[in-house]
Amino acid sequence: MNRLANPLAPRRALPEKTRQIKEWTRELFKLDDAVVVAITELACRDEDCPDIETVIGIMRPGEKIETRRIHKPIADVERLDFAAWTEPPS
Amino acid sequence: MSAPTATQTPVTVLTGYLGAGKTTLLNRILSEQHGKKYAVIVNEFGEVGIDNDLIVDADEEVFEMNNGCICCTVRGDLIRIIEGLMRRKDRFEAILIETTGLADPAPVAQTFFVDDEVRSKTKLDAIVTVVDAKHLLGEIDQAHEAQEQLAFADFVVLNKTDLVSAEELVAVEARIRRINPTAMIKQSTRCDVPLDQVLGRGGFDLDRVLEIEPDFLDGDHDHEHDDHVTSFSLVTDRPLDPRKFLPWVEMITQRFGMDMLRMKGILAFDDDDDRFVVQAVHMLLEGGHQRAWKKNEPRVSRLVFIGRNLPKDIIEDGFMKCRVKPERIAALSA
Repeated sequence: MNRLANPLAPRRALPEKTRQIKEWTRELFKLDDAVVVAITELACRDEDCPDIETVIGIMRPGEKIETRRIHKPIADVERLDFAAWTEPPS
Repeated sequence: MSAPTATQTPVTVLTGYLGAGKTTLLNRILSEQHGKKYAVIVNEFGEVGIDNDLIVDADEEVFEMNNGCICCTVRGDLIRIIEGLMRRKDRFEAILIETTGLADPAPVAQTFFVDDEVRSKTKLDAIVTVVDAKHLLGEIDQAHEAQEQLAFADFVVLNKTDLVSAEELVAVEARIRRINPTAMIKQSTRCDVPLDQVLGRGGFDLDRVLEIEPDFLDGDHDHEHDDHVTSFSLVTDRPLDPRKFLPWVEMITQRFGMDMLRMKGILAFDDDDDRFVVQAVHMLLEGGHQRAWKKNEPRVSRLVFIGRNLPKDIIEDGFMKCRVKPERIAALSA
């Protein structure tokens, strides 16, 4: 039996890295504890979507969720990727 | 969709069309002695007759992470609520989510596979759909939400059976099976199903895929009807070539994922003694090796699709092309 690498294997969660990205987001946007930050790695199979990206949802109470994207997997996100976000999205 | 870890809190989602009896089941789970304390996420505070400070109101906030792509849509309110509940994790062992009668189950289910924090702290155990036996047949053709709630179900509580005849019950059950051939169905009056069958089902565990294998999965069971949601199964006793099957199933999921509500399968690969299982919710596709095939167990591959207007002919043609060639089987058995 000679098994192939399994492309369907469940993706491992990276809780440490996720926490780090949340900290960077909170720091940059000066978010208090009432704001929830959601981090998701999307491998959308839709043709119009990038192969893989990290989506950051900033969930302020009573406000529409603000979304930020980094076109790389969670594991590869760096502090430098936040550098371009000095202005809020239009 | 792998097996839960000790740190993951199990989550049961209760769905059902208006008036089916969801709140009756919810109140039973909250009031009966079964040794587990639940945090509950509901839409209508007033309907829950139990005094519990771990009941939280949901507001069905949809979070589209990629504009308009249903497969990248989750429930923002659930992410917020679960984050808050997890700060009080020592006070409950499991979470129940009651959806509205008109809720789309897909964003609810996808929340537990997409958001990293939710994924690491919780584990979607099952989607339980409560059905009104008396009114289902009259409502379901017009109620696409009701069909989709059945499509997503791991467990169906066929409620209010005391209000219908035995013949009507057979017809209702057959209608449910046409939509969802893999869910467990339990008949009930006032949702009096054994709770240990409803809770802790592991409906999304890869090692429990297709635990329910109704007889009619063993052949061609498509139906001619105008349903919004339909199902079909593909079966072959010829081994599959993983080099063909794995890229094919990824392609099928990408191409038809928007309309593919759920897909489950157990597969026999060529020259492989272990079963390979797959499962998908829309485009969220996962798979892996499971236990070994038993000595006298027929090595039959089965794939079940539940979705909206899925082209069975195209999917079946592709599936059958993933089988190893007869010459290869002859060579192996020579």
